[in-house]
Amino acid sequence: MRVSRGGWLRFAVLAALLCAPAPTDAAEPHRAFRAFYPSGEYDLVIGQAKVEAELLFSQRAAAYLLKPKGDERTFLLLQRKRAIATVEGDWIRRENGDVDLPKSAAPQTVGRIALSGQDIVLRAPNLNARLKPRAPLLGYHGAKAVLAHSPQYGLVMRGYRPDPGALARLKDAKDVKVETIFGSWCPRCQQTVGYVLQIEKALAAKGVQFTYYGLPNPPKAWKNERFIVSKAKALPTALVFVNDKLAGRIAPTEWKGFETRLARIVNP
Amino acid sequence: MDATPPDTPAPRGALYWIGTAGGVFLGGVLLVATWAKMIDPAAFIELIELEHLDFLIPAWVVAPLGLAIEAGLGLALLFNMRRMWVLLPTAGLCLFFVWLTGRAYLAYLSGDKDPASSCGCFGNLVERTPSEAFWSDLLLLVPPLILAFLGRPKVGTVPRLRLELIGATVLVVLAFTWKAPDLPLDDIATRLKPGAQLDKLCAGEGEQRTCLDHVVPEALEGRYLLLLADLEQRELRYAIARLNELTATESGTGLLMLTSADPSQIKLFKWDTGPTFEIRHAPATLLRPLYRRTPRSALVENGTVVRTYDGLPPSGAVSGGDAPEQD
Repeated sequence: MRVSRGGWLRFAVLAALLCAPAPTDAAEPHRAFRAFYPSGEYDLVIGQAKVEAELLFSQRAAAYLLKPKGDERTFLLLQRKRAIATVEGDWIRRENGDVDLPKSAAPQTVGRIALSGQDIVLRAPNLNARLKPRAPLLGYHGAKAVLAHSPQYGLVMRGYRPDPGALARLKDAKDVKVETIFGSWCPRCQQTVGYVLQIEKALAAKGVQFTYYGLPNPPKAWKNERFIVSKAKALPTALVFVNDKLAGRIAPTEWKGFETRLARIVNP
Repeated sequence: MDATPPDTPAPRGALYWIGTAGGVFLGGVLLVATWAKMIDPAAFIELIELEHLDFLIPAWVVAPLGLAIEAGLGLALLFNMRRMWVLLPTAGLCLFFVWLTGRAYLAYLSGDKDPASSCGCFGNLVERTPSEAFWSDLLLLVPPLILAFLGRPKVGTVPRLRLELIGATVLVVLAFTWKAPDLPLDDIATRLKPGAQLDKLCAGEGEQRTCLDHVVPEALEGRYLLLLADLEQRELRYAIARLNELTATESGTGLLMLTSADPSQIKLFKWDTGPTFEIRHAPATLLRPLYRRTPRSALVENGTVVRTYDGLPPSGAVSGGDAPEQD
């Protein structure tokens, strides 16, 4: 049987396609190392100086991702193994702001983690550093300070979509103050205070004023005068004042749909 | 049969019956209080230490001694043995309880005591604030005690059979107390039991009253495993890998560990053990009445406890799956 020249050509192209190595899917996430979100728990300190760095945590993986500014490397800090690994490839950023490592990350152990008091000591080639626990945010602050304290608040804030109906009911509100009592050490607060920040942004320049009161670590938190006077039962709790009079509280159980509850307090 | 002749009552008038009723009621109260403590001896020992009642002898000796006295007097009153050698020690015990709760109440009023702390003769079984503990002890103990002195029967011979019965029962009480931690009594001895709602598991008083649903609001919807734990326990550290396997499943059941350890201790524990689930701080006053010993766990569906486990949740608590690797 004779094969035409065009037929050979088609056969060659097909064979080349079949035999060529399959392209790796760089966007495919790693099975274990995913769902990292920004963390404000620690500051990176090298020597005595605080160094700018991106720090992310994954509860699912029990690991941190650390990218010091000016360092080419990305470090994976494995809690269970107390090991430091370097990883390859670009991070996969999800729509909700979380980060996954690519399947091709290939972590290589390069160093060890030790505990020294509350500090996390990192020892690897060209990395002799500490993660120092960030001091809790104390007292009254505005949204800017809260957002600066931990990037997680901003992440939650950007992902929260308040109910437009409830926001519309709040747009004509006057002399309303919302005081959020929280602890920057409290995981539940980190997961939900961003809702209020988003509502504050949505109601910008309206008659609702927002403040944030940070409590110290427990057990001091429960003896804090503002916590006692506020009669908050748990964290976070928001106090709503209308014309400088306490009109209601928003308990942690009511945080889902915060703006709806707020609108109900302001417009009973 | 009682070999001794029964106490010869003075003319059995109204005072005799009022006195008998008072004595039997007081005996019942003391026995209920004994039961509440004997099913959770560890909490009773903690209470003794908290109240500094171990200044002379160790708490683990005070506890059985106290239970023996309380049970013995309660039984004697239940058997209508209203002799002075029963009533006077009973009066001493009742006044001691009222003094204890009164002291705690005064401390609370002066701001020296946490309103969430429960106290009194009923152990962990009954949730009582300092004020509730004082007033309920005063009302449950003092009036029946006074009544028990009324219309006392004339003293006869020593009721040997009843004394032997009381002695035997006290021995049973002590043996039971010794074995109680190993008996499956958690659902009876604590407030965390199937059917309990998270918003009803509370501590504290008035507007500062806090409940478990405030600590784990997400558990009001869906399925969650709550694990009450003491981070200092070595066995817990060894179990983290297995708990991580539980959370790796796609069963839709979340796992939350609750501890009264402070956030800095939690952070260090996480670096030590690498849990893939959240560890959350909760006040000790809220957690302590929910377990006899840690770890203890509960499966919660839509805010209601559906099952409890003595210890860590078993692998079957959620369906199987793979744990994420760290390699």
